[in-house]
Amino acid sequence: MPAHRRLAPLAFALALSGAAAPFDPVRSADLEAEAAAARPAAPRESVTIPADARGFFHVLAQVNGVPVRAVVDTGASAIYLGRVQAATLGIDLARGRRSEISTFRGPRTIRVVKLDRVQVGALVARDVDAWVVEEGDEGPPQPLLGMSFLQRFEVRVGGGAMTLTERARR
Amino acid sequence: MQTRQATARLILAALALAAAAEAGATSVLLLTAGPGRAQLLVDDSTLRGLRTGERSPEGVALVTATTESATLIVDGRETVLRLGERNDGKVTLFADRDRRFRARVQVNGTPAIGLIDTGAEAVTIGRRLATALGIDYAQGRRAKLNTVVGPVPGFLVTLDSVKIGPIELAAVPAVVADSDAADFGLVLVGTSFLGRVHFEQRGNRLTLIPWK
Repeated sequence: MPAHRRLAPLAFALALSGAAAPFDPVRSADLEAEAAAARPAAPRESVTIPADARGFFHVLAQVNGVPVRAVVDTGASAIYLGRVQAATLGIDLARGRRSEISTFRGPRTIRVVKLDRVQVGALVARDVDAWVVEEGDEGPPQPLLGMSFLQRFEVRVGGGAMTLTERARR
Repeated sequence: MQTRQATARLILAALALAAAAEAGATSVLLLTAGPGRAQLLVDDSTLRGLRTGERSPEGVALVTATTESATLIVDGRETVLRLGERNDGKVTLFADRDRRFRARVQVNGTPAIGLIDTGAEAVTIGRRLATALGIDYAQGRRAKLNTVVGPVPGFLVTLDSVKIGPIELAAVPAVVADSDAADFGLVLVGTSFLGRVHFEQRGNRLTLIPWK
């Protein structure tokens, strides 16, 4: 039996109340990637972002080539944008699936879209999930760089800075 | 003769122990366990399945195991881990289906579910949950909070203790949001906590590391 198959019971073991989602805790791909990382390889690209006085990490990102200031937010599942910001970036909302989410400021109707290309420094992610708030002025003050982007990279935070690094190539 | 052999054995054992201590920090995370078996993540990179009495190439041995915990020998030392626990004072979290990291958190000793959130400045809690956690927020200073999703009215308080696994911080700035919308039952573990630890995220795993 492959090792990762036997991890299934962990979904139960570690599932928290209110978060009963089945998940795949340690994908074998992860482990292979890490084994590859242990071997000497070409240096990986990385970006270091200092925290501001409130502990937030602001980045200058490029979405489909358009520069945009964003805030790194591990509490957001996806890149999170307002309608006007999305228009500036040339995102076609009509193609997105409509969905409802709850935010700290109340429920919002969103469109789930894919961003072709999101770049921070030399780091590039393609086909990244983004949530665009439909209600005219109810989006975030600045776009939020959420987990759909962050999970593509290794993230290290400490001592007042965040470093994003390319994941090891397999 | 027997004494000499015994002494030699003792010296060997001592040397083995010293070597183990030197090699030192082998990290072990207990992923799953059942009677007589356990699945471990060793040094954050290698998956090992052990049966009672077996020893991994890293020198991690399984002594006993139940469905809730395992007794191991790590670096020559007996260590009892419960499911999901590590032996090195760190905490590993796994992403949910929505890609976010939730954690069991204790606020002033009372358990709740937290969300690792670099987009929240203080540890942030809705009114209803704050009441359930016994936080007397009415004593706090009223403020308009500039959150990453926009302004939210609330109360500034200081929590005596916020604890995730073995990582406990004292005097943690927190905010109780004065809005029904914010009552979704999660403690947002924001930068007032995260700024006082280290953390690393790789794929679907996030590890909190205490500040030394």
